[in-house]
Amino acid sequence: MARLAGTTFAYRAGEPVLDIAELTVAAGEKLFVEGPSGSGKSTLLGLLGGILTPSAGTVEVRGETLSAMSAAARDRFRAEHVGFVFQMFNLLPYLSVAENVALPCRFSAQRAEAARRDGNSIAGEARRLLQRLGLAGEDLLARPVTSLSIGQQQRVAAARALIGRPALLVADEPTAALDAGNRERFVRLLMEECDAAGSAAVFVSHDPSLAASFDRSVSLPELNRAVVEAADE
Amino acid sequence: MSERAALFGLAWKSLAHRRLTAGLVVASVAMSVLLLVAVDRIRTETKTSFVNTISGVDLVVGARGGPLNLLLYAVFRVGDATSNISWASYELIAARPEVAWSVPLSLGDAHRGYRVLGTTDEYFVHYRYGRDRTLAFETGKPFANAREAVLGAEVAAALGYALGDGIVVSHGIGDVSFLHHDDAPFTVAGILAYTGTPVDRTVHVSLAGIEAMHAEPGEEDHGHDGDPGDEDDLDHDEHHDADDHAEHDDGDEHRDAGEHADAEHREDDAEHHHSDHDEDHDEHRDHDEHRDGEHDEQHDGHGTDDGHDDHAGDDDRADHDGHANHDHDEHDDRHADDHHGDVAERQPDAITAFLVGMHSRPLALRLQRFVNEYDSEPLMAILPGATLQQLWDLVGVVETALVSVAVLVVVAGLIGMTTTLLAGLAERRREMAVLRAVGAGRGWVFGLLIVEATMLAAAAGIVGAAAAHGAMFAGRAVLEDRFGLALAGGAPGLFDLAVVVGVTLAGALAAAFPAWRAYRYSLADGLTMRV
Repeated sequence: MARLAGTTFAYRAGEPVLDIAELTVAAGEKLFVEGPSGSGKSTLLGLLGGILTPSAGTVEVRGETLSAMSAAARDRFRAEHVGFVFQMFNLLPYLSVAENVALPCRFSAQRAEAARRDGNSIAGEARRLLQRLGLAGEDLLARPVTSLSIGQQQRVAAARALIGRPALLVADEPTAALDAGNRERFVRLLMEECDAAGSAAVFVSHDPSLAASFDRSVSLPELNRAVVEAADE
Repeated sequence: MSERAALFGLAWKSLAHRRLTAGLVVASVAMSVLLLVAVDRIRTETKTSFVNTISGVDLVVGARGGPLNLLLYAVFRVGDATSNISWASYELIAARPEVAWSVPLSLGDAHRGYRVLGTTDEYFVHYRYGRDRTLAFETGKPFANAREAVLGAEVAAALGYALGDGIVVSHGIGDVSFLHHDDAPFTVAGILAYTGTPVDRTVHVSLAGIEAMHAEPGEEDHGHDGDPGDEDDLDHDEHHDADDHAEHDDGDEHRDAGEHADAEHREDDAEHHHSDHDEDHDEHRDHDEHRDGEHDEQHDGHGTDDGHDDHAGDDDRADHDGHANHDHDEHDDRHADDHHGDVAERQPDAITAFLVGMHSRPLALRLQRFVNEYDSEPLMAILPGATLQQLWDLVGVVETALVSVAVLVVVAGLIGMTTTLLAGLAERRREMAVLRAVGAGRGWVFGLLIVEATMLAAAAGIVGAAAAHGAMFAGRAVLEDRFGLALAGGAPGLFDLAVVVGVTLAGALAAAFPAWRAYRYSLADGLTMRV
């Protein structure tokens, strides 16, 4: 599903922040990447999402070589096949809950089509996903996102990342702002929905206690051959 | 395609979310657009109303001097003529075949600060202003005799006159004159509708009225600044003659002035001189030159009465009388059907200027050359439109300054918008990262800001232009009454469209810098959430 081979990335020439010999994610596989701040995880996510291009080596997702694509093609690819969940502030304040969930469908016809297939309509699919993630109720769909709790906001972000069945879900510390009880429930829900959508997942966190919920776990500091001193975050 | 739809949809929702800021930006830019549109409309209307202060007149003829000066005193009633035009010259030019009509103007008197214009009733027929609008009577009708006056709208309103009121005209143009023609009061016969031109500030009387006023016996004979010396004699003749027709009571008094013999003398002259017009004219020209010479003397003082008497000998008298009769004949012919016999029957010795309408416009240049080369008397003819344009160009600097200021205000408004966009950018960096994560390209992020700014500017342009027209429509009565500007007359036009489009494009351009900054941010931030 996703493969990094001999991939290095440097913001300044000669000072690589990431250097990975090989990292593979199988289709539908849930990979836990353990990494503290400064271990190069944001760079890794940027490479997987096609925001960054490697200085050397290749990045492949779904058998396509992102590192060989134009910036516009990578943007398109990301819209079609990758869903992101961030640590916080995932939502656009000027869109309602339902609109935030449906946002990727504005950028990808493919995902819009898939969402319509799954839930009869994009709004229906958004509602269905929110319900699956424990956010039921019509009133909630129309509420401004700023009125939601952080836990609710993260679940909305998860629904958005999964709408239209992207091939790859990339999560960057999505539970950092949640308390311990909510944290595990969120991860479990997220993994269930990944399974339901058939998406592979790369979940980055500094918290090793979450690793148990995943198919496989790797340590980024071990994987990253670059001597990382400076924080990249 | 859906991405492009998303661009407009999200830009709109983003603006709606920040509606207070967006509203204030629109309000401030709209205000500047309102100013620009209003200033332009006022400028255009002012210019139109100015350049059309007098229209439908092909030539204005006056004594030789500056064209602007002629325009100012003949049309705007500002300043004074340096010298007059003899009636004979007027007659000669007016009789030329290419002339369709002509209206004599006699200035130099005032009523309570408002200029008095002596003219014929044809003035009301031929005077045009604005877009070929004729003078309309608010009430009443043109003067029918030497004792009637027609008031401009402003005169009537400011002095509170109504039909039938008596007014007294003073000699000279000051508000308070040392000489009031108390013996020659005028009755208000008509009041003109508002025009927004100097006509509003004018008291119109017949030429005969002017003559009658100046012909009062006694001290006036010596008190006429700049009047031709020989007029003393002629005035009496004419006045006397007219009074015979009009006011017998008055006429008797004037006869006491001892002019009876003159009247008889004139009748004789009428027979003798009728057949030799040319000779009359020649004599008259001689007389004119002679009179011009004296003119200066008259300005210097009135102590030259003795000299007068020398000049005003029998020969001069004869010329005048002969000429006067010649006038009569012509004039009477022209006005054979007219009902106002009395007005037509008094001819002045001289007039200040006259308006000419041609049978066809190109002939105006030919007549202009003829007048300018007329060698019996130094005359000058101007094309009023061209000279008005010239005068406008002179004062047009103000116009340019006004528009420049308005344009600068719009620029300031747009800079304000750019500032607001830039200030909002910092807190929108997270939003940009989220959009990038869901698939938005960097160009899309750039476009989002451009589209938002374009929407703001377009809204401001439309709101501003609409508000300007709304305000001008709402205030049209005041603007027309107070300033004579027909602002509401013009529907939103090409300029308004150009302003809206221009402001919209300028808004898009003004957003280029913030948008470029957003583009740079999204490049540097990537998916990182900068908090």
